[in-house]
Formats: sequence, C-alpha cells, structure tokens
Amino acid sequence: MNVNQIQTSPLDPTAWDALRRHARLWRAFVAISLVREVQFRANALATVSVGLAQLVVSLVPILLIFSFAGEVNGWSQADVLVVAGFQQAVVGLLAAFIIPNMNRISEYVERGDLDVLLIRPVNAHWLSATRWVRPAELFAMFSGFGLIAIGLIHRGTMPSVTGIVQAIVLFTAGFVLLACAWSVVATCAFWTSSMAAGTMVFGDLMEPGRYPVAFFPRAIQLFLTAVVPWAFASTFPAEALTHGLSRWWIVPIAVAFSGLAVTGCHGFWNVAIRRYASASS
Amino acid sequence: MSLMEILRVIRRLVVGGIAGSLAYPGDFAFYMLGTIIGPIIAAFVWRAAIAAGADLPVDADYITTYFVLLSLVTMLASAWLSVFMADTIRDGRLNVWLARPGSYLYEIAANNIAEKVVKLVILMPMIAIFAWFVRDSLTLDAAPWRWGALLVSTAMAAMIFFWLDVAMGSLGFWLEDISGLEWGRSLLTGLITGQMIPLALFPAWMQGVLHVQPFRYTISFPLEIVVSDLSAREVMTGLGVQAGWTAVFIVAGLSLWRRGLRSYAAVGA
Repeated sequence: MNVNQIQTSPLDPTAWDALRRHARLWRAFVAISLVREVQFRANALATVSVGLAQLVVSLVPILLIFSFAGEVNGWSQADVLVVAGFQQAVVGLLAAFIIPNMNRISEYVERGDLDVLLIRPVNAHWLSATRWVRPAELFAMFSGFGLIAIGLIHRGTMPSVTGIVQAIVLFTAGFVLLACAWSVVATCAFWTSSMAAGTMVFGDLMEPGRYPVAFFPRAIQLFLTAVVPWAFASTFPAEALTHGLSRWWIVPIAVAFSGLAVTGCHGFWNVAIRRYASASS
Repeated sequence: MSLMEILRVIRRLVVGGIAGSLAYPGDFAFYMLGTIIGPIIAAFVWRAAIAAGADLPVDADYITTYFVLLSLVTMLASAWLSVFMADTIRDGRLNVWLARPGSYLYEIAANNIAEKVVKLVILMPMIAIFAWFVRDSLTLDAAPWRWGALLVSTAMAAMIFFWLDVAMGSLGFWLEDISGLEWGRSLLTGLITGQMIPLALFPAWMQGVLHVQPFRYTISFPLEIVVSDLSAREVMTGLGVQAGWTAVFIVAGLSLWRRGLRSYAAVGA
C-alpha cells in the first residue's frame, strides 16, 4: 500500500488526516514499548549499563591517541570528544528507533510475516520502519549529549547561537541520512532473502563516526560523506560547535540530501516490494 | 573412541561443515567485512596521529603491519560458539549428542574449523586490498622462523579461545541466559587482547599487568612475534607461557563441561 492509496482511503480523506493517523499510531507504538521496558526492568537496566560501559571503552583509543599528540589534523582531544558525543547520540537514536526495525525486515521477508504488514490500512514501509521502539537505548543518546558538554567544557569556549542551530540541523539531517542508508541495506533482503549479516556490518560502520573524517584518507572521507554519511552526523555538527563551520552551505546541502534520501529510500522500498512473492502463500 | 576415530569423525564433520558454510557465501563475506572494518579504521586513525607528529612508542610500520595482520589472527583465533552452545544445552538439543558415540565438543570444534577455512578464503583478498592501500609502511619481511612461531602461537591462541568458549557455553547448564556474560567478556577481551589497540600503546604503568594476563596470548603476542623486535629467547619464553595458559583453559573448559553434563536435566534427557 502506498501513500496515495492511504490518502484516498475512507480512513483518511486528506493527506493531513493520513499524517495525523500515522502520528497517533506511532505514539501508540512508543507507549507500548514504554510499557514493555517497565515490564522488563532488569533488561532495560542492562541496556543502560551496556551503553555506559561501551561508551567508556570506546573512549580509550581517543584518550590514548591524545596522550601522544596535542592535535591531529587540526582536531584537539576536546574537539574529538565532541565528535564522539555526536556519534554516541546518533547511535543511541538509531538503536532506539531504527535498528530494532531494520533487523526485523529480513525476518519479515524470510518468514512471510510481511503479509500481515501489507494487509494493514497503513503505509507498509512506514510500519516496518517504525513499529518497534527501544526507549532504554535513548540513554546512549543522552550520554552522547553529556560527552558533547564535557568536550565543550574541556575546550573552554562557548559555541555561538548560529553554531548551535547549525549543529542541531546537521545532526538531525545526519541521523535521517544514516537511517535511510541503513534502511536501504535492510531492504536488500527482498533480493537476498536475508540481510542479517549485512545489517550487522552496518553496525560495524558506526565505529568511524567517532573520529573526524579528516583523520582518514580522501577515499574513505568520500565514503563517510556520501555512503555512510558520518560527516553529516558527527564531524560537521562538532565542527559547527567547536571551530565554527567554514562552509555554511553544508547546512542546506545536508537538509536537501536528507530530503532526497527519504524520497529515494521510499522509492527503493516500492521497487523492492514488487519482488515480494510472500513466503506463506 | 580412539584418537584416530575421533580425528576421523572430526574430519568428516569439518567436510560437512565446509559444505554447509558454502551455502551462505554472502553472509560470510559480510561477516569478514565486519572483521576487517575495525582494524582498517584503527590503522588509519593511528597513522593520522603519527603523521601529525604523535610521539608513539612504536613506529608507523609497526602500527600498519599490526592492523593488517590483526583481522587474520583475530579470525583464526576466535571461537564464537559459547552462545550457540548454551542455547543447545538450554533447549535440550544436546540430547541428540548424548545418544551418539561422539561428543558434542567434536561437532563444535569441527564447525569452528570448517567456518575458519571458508572465512580464510573470503578474508584473504580483503586483507590484500587493505595491505595494498597501506603498502608504504607495511613490513612483512620478518625472518621465516618468526612466521613459523606466529602459526604455532595462533594455533595455541585458537585453543585458548575455544576452551574459554566451552567454559562460557557450559555455564548454560546452570544459567538461563549467558548473553550478558558473553557481552561483558567480549568488551573486556576487546581491550586487553590487543584487538582494539596494540598493547604497546597503553601507558607504561599498565604494561606489567597487560603482559602477564592470559589474553595477551590470544591476539597481541602472536602479532608481536612478527611486528616487534622480540628476541628469539623472548619468543620462546612467550610460547612457553602461552602453552601454560592453553593448558589452564583446557582444564577449565573440560572441567566445567563434564561437571555440567553430570547435572544436565533437559526435556527428554
């Protein structure tokens, strides 16, 4: 079922009604997931502890590098902590809202569970991408924000208002771009039947976001800007808060790219869904 | 069963395991990509630090060669079986193996070897591409005896990890879920095996502890044999210590496995 079908359905006379109904549904998904987290408190506590321990361990290389060097390619330890903070925050957001859903797409296709999603009166792409939420993972996002604050305090300078606005826009656009990239990888399950290993590799690609893209050779910088866009999600927002963005046009480009990515991602899903023959019929 | 019979069983299980693994070449390619991504990132980050004038206790050649060989040694040494083993115990699938003349341990050992054969074939071209990109400071001209010692050391590292995984998996006889413990283990070993950072880069005050702990002998020591200037005597001493740790892990793994089998009570058992 695509967006146009929803708009003309008796449930939603207008596109605005469709949006409102989908927003209401998402609110219900979040409410259910909160109830689930409260029910399994030990698991939620474990998730929080795991996130904290992972953050501490992930900082070890950064602390070691800067015990040997004052600056690397124009980035100080405090600056890199800000980059790592943005990476941690994005990973937390992805883990809360995107990853639980992307990991299930392979299962939907393999087992034929997608049938159940397709017959529901909602957009199937939206439902498959938003149905599952893990609120406990948001702790990682907050710890990322804490790390950004520590980096800025360590740096001893206050970011400008413009820098803060630019950082928020870039961070949001970077999150959308990464979510779309992950969605495209997961959607490949329609051709390969299982993309569990592929999405696992995408998890490994979260690692380079902890460092400014300037640390890597040009080919990898290009990869981290255009394919797995960590430049937009962590490096550029950190640059806006610390040094100030030297290229202001990155902000509108990030917004335009994220809009294009959402459109492209949805288009890719529509192409993929045509291949689906159902495992149960 | 005699040793020859056991080896014959394992050989047949390995052949079957390779055939089974070849059914999922795409998945294995992704897994190997995941194995090499970490070392690639770490290599470039540390090389950037060196290029920026960082005063490390090791040079760019050490760092580059270490990280190029890291994914190979990590893959050959790793075991990745404890969670599967605990699941097999918990859901009663172990019953099938108890009714057979061969131990379940032969199956998991054969599965591990078979997957490593397939992974090696897939991983080597990836390592070759990575090596080509960093060829400016890659030094693979260690003496032949060092490469031989690396092989021996990696084999012992594989034994350590295998029996550690058997010990962890055997906890499934008593615990409902070992994934939390497994996660804690992987986080800790990632740091103290040298998988995340070469141990030589840790502060001087930590070197003493890092050098005597057993996990150094799983990833770091095999690599040190070819990338550092350890003398022949130091390598031989290290191999001796590693053999000692291997024996400790074999005894620990076997003890837990046998003790667990005695207390095993699953559906149908």
